[in-house]
Amino acid sequence: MAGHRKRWLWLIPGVLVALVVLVLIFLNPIVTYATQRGLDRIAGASGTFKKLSVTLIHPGYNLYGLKIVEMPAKPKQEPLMYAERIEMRWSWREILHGHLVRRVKIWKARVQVPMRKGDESKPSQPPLEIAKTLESVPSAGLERLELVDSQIVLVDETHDDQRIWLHDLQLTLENMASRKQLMHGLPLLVTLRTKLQNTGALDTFLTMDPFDKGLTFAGSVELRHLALADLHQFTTIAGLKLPEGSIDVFASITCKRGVLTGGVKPILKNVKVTSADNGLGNKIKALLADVAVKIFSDRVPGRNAISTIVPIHGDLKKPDVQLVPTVLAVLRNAFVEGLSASLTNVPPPQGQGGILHQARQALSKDSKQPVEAKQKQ
Amino acid sequence: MRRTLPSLVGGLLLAAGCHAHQVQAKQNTMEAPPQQPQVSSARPVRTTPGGMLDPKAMHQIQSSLSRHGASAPSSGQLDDETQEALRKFQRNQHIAETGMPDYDTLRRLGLDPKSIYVGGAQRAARNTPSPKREDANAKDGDAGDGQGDRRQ
Repeated sequence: MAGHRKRWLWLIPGVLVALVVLVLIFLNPIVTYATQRGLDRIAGASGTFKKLSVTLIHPGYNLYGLKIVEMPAKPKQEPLMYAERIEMRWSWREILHGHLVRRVKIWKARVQVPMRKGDESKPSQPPLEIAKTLESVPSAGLERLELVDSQIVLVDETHDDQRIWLHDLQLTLENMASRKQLMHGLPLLVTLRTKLQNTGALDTFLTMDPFDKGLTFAGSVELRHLALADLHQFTTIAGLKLPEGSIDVFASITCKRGVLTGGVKPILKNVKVTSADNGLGNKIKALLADVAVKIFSDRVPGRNAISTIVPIHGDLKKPDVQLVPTVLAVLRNAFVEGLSASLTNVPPPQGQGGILHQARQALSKDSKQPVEAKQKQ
Repeated sequence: MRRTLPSLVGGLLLAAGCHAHQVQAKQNTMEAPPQQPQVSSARPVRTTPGGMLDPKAMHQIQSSLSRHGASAPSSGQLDDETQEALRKFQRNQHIAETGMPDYDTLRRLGLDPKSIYVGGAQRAARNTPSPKREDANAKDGDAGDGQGDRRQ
């Protein structure tokens, strides 16, 4: 009788080991199937990947060769996104405390963002209340999202596929959580270092308190040494060429409970303006611009810089304000009002469609006057 | 984009002239970003890492970097040399090379992000006289205004 009991006791660990082996055998195929199903559900796009692996001891998930292509596919179409490797990690300790905390690291991603004419028939979106939205989802946190050696290409499909290229991109986003206590008293932090076009070095630092009573964030952007020749695809269209010189831009912005303030400081160095063609009008324009540069530069040898500071001011507190278009509208207004009285068209009063659509509308010269974006004169 | 950008560049050339005399007077400070007042909230937000770190916190980061083989000057400021040392350390750790003291970098340096960032911001706020104290979120423990964003 006692020997019979002992045999049963041996069976328990045996069954557990068998279960673990079965899980290990079937886990990868099951997760592979679930991931592919998830990719198949993306609206208007199709996703594939080369390989996937799941680990249990340090709970994690590795996806290799992820490729997302817009559908219906066109010949020689570039993928919307490609990532050599995506690694996700969970923490058993946090899971046992009822929180899902995840770390995501992406290597060598290439993201293509097409900018197109939007669908004006889409209904207007309600204003985003970040704290309420976060608290409505299960307790989860993104401890760190990291992009390494990646690139983002903005393609303006409305203007001959003109491209803005961010490459050698290193980005971190840390401490994003759906509960205050998961933030450990620290703000959400975003840091970015990348190259813009061939020459510009772009650094960004952003901090945000998503649980403050209103929208509260602060950040800065620094663009250094962008050769004006890198902007040739834009500048030649105006009949002018900027074959020499560089531009630095420093911007800082703070938003305290919906009140946006800040400034943008562009600095042009060693600029030379020439005509893009032999037309008399363009030659005169180029001559005037070149003379203006010479007169107003600081005449420091080797630098010859001209600079200005453009103030930013906006109000994001009102209930009918759309966040994305208004922030972009305020930034654009600052440039427009500060730099050229002739450019006074600014983004639309109501954000329609998705974020990309709103962003494109906000940056479009053809859009209407905003209602809520205010400009410090 | 085609029409806006060149117009902005052209407008920039013209408008910059209005400020040229100011530029000449401020040649040495030209490459500093526009100054911004700081924001108080339960989790302090700042426009630059320099706005969240006081010299004491920066010294801690620099000495920790040096201990980890990424030699950094003991300047107490987030200067170019320190950012380069941070990048070197991040490269060695196989994490994103932003050159900024993000939370993960601080933890890998053996430092507590809360004492470095929040403590630094609070010390900076205490040491800097603030002309106007914004209404604080007292319930969550306000970090105060660190007026004058020190670009370092």
